[in-house]
Amino acid sequence: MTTEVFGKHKWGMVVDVDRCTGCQACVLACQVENNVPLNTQERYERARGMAWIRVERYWEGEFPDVKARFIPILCQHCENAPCEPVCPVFATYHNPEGMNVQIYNRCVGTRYCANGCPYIVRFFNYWEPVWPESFRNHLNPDVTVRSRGIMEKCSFCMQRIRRGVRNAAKENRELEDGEIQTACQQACPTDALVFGDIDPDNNRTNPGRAYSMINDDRAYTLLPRLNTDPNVIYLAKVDPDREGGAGGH
Amino acid sequence: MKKLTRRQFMVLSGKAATGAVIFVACGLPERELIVQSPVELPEDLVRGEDAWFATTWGDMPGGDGLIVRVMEGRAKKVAGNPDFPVNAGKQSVRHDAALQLLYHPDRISRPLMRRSKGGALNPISWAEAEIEMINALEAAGGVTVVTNPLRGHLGLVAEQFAALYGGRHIAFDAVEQGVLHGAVDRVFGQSSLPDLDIGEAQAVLSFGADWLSTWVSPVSLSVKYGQFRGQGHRGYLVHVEPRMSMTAAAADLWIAPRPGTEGEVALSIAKEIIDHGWASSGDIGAFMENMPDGALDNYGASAVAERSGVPEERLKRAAEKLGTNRPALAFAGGSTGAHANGSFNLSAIYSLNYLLGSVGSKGGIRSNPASPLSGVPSSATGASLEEWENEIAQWRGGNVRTVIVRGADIVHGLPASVEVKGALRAVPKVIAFATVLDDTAAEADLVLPEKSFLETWGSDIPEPGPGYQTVAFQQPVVGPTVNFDEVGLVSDARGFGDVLLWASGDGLGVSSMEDLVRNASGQLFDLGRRSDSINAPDKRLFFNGALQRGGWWDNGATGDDLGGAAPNFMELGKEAKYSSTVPAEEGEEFHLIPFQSNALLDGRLASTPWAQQSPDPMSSAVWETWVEINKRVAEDLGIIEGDVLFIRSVNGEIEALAYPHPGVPPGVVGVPMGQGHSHGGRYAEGRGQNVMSILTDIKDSETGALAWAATKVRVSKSGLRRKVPKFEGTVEAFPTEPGVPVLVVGPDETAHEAEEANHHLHQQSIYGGKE
Amino acid sequence: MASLLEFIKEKHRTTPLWIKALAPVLLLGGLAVFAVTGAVTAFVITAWLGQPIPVLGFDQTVKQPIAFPHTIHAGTGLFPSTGLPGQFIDGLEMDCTFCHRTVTSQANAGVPPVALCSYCHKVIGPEENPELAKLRKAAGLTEEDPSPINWKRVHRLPDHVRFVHEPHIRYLTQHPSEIRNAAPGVNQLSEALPSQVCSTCHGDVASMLEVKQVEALKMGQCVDCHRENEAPTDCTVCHH
Repeated sequence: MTTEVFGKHKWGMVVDVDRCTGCQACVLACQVENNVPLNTQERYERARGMAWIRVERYWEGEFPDVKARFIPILCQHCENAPCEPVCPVFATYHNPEGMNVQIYNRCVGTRYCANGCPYIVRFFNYWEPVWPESFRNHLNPDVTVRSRGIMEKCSFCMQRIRRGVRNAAKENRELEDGEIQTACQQACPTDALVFGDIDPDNNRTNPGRAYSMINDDRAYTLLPRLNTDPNVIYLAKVDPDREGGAGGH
Repeated sequence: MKKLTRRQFMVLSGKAATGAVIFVACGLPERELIVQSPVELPEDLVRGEDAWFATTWGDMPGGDGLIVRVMEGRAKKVAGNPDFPVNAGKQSVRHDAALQLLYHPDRISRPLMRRSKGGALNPISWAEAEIEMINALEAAGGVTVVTNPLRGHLGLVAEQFAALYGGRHIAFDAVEQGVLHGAVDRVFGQSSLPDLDIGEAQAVLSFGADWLSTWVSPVSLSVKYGQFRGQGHRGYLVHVEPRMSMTAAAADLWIAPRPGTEGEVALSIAKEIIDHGWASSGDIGAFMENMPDGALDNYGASAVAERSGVPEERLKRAAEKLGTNRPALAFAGGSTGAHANGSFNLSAIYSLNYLLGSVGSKGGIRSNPASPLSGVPSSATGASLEEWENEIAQWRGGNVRTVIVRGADIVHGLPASVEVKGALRAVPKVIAFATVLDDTAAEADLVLPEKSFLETWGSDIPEPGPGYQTVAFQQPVVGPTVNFDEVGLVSDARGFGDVLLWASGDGLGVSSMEDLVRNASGQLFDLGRRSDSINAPDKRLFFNGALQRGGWWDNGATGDDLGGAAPNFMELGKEAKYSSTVPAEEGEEFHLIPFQSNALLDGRLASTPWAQQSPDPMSSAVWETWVEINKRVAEDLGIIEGDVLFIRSVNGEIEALAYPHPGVPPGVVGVPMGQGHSHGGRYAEGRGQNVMSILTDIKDSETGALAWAATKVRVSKSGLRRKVPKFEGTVEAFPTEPGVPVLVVGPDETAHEAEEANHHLHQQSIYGGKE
Repeated sequence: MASLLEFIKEKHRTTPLWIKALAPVLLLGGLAVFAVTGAVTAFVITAWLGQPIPVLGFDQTVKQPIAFPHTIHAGTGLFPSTGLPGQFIDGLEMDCTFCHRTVTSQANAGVPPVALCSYCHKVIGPEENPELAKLRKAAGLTEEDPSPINWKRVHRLPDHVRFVHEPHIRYLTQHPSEIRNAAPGVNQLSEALPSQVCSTCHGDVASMLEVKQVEALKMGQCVDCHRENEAPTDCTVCHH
């Protein structure tokens, strides 16, 4: 056991929509962790804000029978990712750990991948990221700052995964479930986001938290008819007063 | 031919020149090319090594334990402290954004002084500033210390310092919780906020408080909400608020009553529960004991439905859910208390817990014990508007010689009717402590650079606590040695607490905040309890342990029993009052509900760009002041998104961008607080408008608190239109068919069944029933 | 042919004298531009593919603010003193990790604080050595305030690479005999100390008076070595 065995894990995330309150803690935690540039007013007005994870809000009905539904959307890390085959320089590819990866130094900025993504979770750097000199102090040194012309997206906090795997190998032990937390999961006050290894073989003897949730009755994936086979699993919102929808009852 | 040759030559030489320029431009900044050997190497400066330090942030409501990631002497990330019992490792947008208070490019680095009122602020040395401060304190006349509500040792120092100079300490909070503390005291017999055991409850009835976003202790309450949703039997949440807040959106049943009628709604629910026999006779007795006979007669569902504008069916449904699911609890705050009858509303609602049998029980309301550190404030709220009016009359009357302000932007936050600016000019010496110049510090005669919470010692006693004794310690996680190199900002700030201790000489018995915290740790050690947080053989190790864990707590030390019966709240002023409005030709009449911004709160985080750019949960709007208005009403008035609207009250007018959505009750407009600063650094200055400035001075009849939800306004179009800066629209997010992307399942329905049913509906809508 | 001759004659007649006088200058200037362009191109290509040509001061060695001799500290044998010409000092054979302390646990090998240097040099080393005088000044042993030393960086990877020393040292020290492409002598060891494997990438630093980068440290080299040793070659191992 001297080298880290790469490809042993298959990372995934379970998002419990029923717990999400739309508080935006995950969004900012992600932005801070991953050196995502400041979204200035101008960027928002041009509809070019960046958020590796975002909370979408949908309205249902009219007052007084109105509901606001929140859903956090991040890169789905699809097994059959539409963004991967279109990249002419292999800057995005599927790695053995089940993640859809963006390699910044390979990216030439064709934006084909962003056009291919049905979840719209890829963001393009139209400008050089700019921070006032003093704000550079809080940049995360573990994450590359992307320059202009580069596509970026959720990496499942790759830097935390690498650090966690390395620490386990250093101490010559197995990685524990829940040891690696993504920034969004760490922030989420209602525990709506659960990240972990969802490979069935790795969960046989001691099932992890994320794995035990993916077969929940409420589990679904986004846009399943596109057959993208995402590694982000959602648990449906519960409405105790919902009527008529249920088919089998 | 000749021309061509020359041209080619020119092109070639041109290329060579550009090549050279590009090559030069590839140079690296000088700092990338050095590796520095510091003189000493403390563990948090080791390159590449990240250390997480536990601390807390006393200036935030609630009192959450935090951990801060520090690398090479720089703070990189703030996160929740997983050990800490209040927030259990979780955080909010405010905590992440706070990092930018530390590294703000507009931080005040040196003391500034104004030679005469109306003059310019000029940099001076600390030595001069010290002399100025001592002169101001030694001059005859009163001293007033103005701060944000402070718990823990900073609160103690402010209190004792004011007493030492024969002055007073007055706290300011734009959305003060005085009505709440008063009601809790009246109903349960203790004024510190109780622990709401939402996580174990089966039904929750909340009023007015946006407790998932900004109210009291949002992170810990959100953690409990997660548990509430995650139980085997999922809890049912009823939320009553005249605006669709984040909490209203999370609720299973949202009820939007006419503002100010929340107390009546609660009583009609109580009557329903009693009439249907959903409460035991003992509980009914505890609820009704001190009340006059027939007190509830006037609160039948149909009568209250009439008065509150809530459909009777909804009132009955809420009562049924509360009555048939136990444990259940009820609580209130926010806009429900911000009326002339605020105390009545809150008292009625908190009293419901006697009827639900949830006082002091699991899944109910449990008391918090007194602080283990005697004398250290464990509960704090801002002074009421009435107290502020009296205080400011003293300033204006020349009875106060020196005002010391810290963390309280009174110029921005008090209603315009108080005219704080003029009063401050009447005070001979105004000394402000600030990290970034805010609207109040800009009026000061002496501005002293304040340290951020990441640079100072302190403590906090969370309110509401987790139900047992808890103390959080705040420690400097980055040293003052951090060099802001190119900016030249070598922080010369001194903490408010340390300066007050210095200015009091030996008057307070200690010389630094660090000593105070160390002594407090010693006191906790002397209690001799074996707690589950720290066990150490001596004081030194105990202190180390307390700093490592971020505090001390003892989950055996729970609070006393709460009162045995509800008080007679019927004697309180029951009538809601609304402000008058400007003449009818100035627009349509609406009820104005200001609300705290999810990221900026009342504006105290407006200087940080991270908070500014954090989308509002409901509208996703950012960087601006917008006004939420019902979509259909807007259509009728010809208002579309981005229209600049005038919002006029009898006290003034503001402009805001229209954001119509279906979640706003028709007679109401909602405007976020937190913008409209004339100072506050490059990210806050001149941005948006301040809704507090148009509030009228209606007060709660019992406490004299500002009834900030009682103002009526008229809304009209200005004719201008601007783009609303918002995240919505950045990605094309729209539901493609029912259940996509947010799939909703009924009880006992599986996701697969719901998807099939939705798809069936979708096909029906396309093929008209034929498949 | 004739037309060309005529063309030249015509040109000769019409061209103003001042242009004719400038012709040799323009010719030489053009050649010079070509030469410079060629040199720059060659430099860029070599810099891209490997190390730059050690000319015009583009050598990898850099003048450090204090002429610190790795030789005397880590080497074996007699080495010239950097501060006092003509003097020779016996190498101390110090372990690399004595100063580069975090190499076995962290991403960075770590540059020691001045305090660590002055721990020995408070006493050791003659006072007249000007290089040691600089160190003592930085350490605050003289009247002046202590100040950090800004060493010039010798090994620098691009911003988009995350190199971590710890797993490399761990792998190289645990089974030195199995390593392919190791530095000379490492394969013969049954168990290696961290300081015995540094030379795999850094060369024999103990014999360098001025430290320079000896390996290209380009991605190709990293990947080759990872492949030979069956280490992971997924992009995300280094790029994130």
